[in-house]
Amino acid sequence: MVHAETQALTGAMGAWADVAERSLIKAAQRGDQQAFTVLVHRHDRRVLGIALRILQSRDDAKDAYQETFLKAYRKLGTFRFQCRFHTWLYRITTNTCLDQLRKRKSRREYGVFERVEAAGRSPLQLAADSRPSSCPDKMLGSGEITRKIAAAMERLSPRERVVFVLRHYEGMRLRKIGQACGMSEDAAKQCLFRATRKMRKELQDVRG
Amino acid sequence: MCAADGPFEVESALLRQRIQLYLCGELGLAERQEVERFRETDAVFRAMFDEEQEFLRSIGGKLDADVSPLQGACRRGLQAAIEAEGAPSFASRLRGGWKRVAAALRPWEWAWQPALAAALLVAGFAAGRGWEARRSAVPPSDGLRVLLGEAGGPADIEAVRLDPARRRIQIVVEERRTITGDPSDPLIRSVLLDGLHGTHAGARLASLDALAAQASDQEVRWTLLRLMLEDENPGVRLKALESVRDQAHRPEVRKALVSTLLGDPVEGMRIHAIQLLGRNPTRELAGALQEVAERETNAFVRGESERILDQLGASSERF
Repeated sequence: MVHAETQALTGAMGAWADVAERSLIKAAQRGDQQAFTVLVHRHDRRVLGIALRILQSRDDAKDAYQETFLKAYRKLGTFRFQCRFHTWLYRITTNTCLDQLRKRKSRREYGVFERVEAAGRSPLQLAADSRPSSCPDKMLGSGEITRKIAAAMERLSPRERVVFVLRHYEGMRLRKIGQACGMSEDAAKQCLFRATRKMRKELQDVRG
Repeated sequence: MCAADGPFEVESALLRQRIQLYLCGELGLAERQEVERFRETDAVFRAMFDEEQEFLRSIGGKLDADVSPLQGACRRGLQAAIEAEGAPSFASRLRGGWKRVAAALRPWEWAWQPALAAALLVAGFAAGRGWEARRSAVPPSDGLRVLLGEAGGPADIEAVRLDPARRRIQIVVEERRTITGDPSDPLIRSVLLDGLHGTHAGARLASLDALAAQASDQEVRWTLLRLMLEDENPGVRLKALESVRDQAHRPEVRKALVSTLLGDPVEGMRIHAIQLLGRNPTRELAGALQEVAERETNAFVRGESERILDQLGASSERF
């Protein structure tokens, strides 16, 4: 009996990651809302992190989160397992964020950074420095740098901003970034170089 | 770069790009070695390299976003939005169907209403009888017996049933027993293994504590692994992982650790898993580690997986 259990557990563990996700996606495609909820819970932390870093606003990130998963929910039937599920999901996330950034730009809305400066602290600063490991002195310094980085990022184009965040804060490979943003790896590379050059220029005093 | 840039600026920009790609881990082995060789031999290049590295370090991690405070609200909002999308069509289908049935039955109201009431009465009676039969599955003893607990006091009374017709009383008591013995005793062990399936997390933790020393036993080990992978309580999962720490060389433990690394939502669990797996890295881990390097949110776990992949001579990217 133990042997049978052993075999069952070994089999289940060996293929756990891929098979479980595949069957979850298939169940969700058949209309199983609970399966979709499990998929959301697996990936939403990173989706929210990406949205928060790109948009630098809690409210906008919440909107992007909802829009991303609703789009995924509506389009799940079209997912054909040609890429990994999270790649597909991040593509939706980055497109949603890009749309929001473009809308923001076209409305000539105040950047988040300006809005949060008016309120005193940046949402990213609030979030980042709430960790118990941060000491007060470090928090002040880090908060200042965070503000400057956020301000410098406002100068980037929406696409440069997305590529910069995905590379330097999400640690994604350029090939994956290209897939997520619908561009070639080379285009993503050039976009990253441009973004980094602009950021370096904007943040010269931080480095000093 | 603009058209007015001189050859030096162009070259400098290209070198910076190469350094950036190196620092981002985007270069192949030969290109990496070339950058490292330049860095050792060329002072100008070294200064540029250090400057670029310092810049990336100065911005790295500064936009760390703790999403935890937002996550709950986002999930609730999404759930409501999904229900709003999916539920109305289903509810309206249901409502429409029921209305059609009700309209069809309206002319026969005088007949189906009393019939429905009688059917409900019969169903309720039958359900009650069935429940009663299950509860009294153990036949009552001939005389009234008072069961005492081991300490001599009365045991917990779960139910008392009167049967006036037969002048009988049935008392259902919860019996308590204390079992004492050596931890390696098969009876003790089987009780402890049963305790791991209990509903109370505290009892599961205590049973785990008692069984931890026997992780070399196959049955115990598999039970610990199942807990590590499936228990809903993170404390129990962590305790189970610690209990199999010394067994990390066994293939089934390594597979379970890989599953934990890939799927456990608690970062602490994933950190423990990668540390244990990193003690004896083997080639078969490469696929899982590449997935971790690609999607892991915790920097330490990601860094460790990249380090182990490097140690194995494997790329941290899947092709």
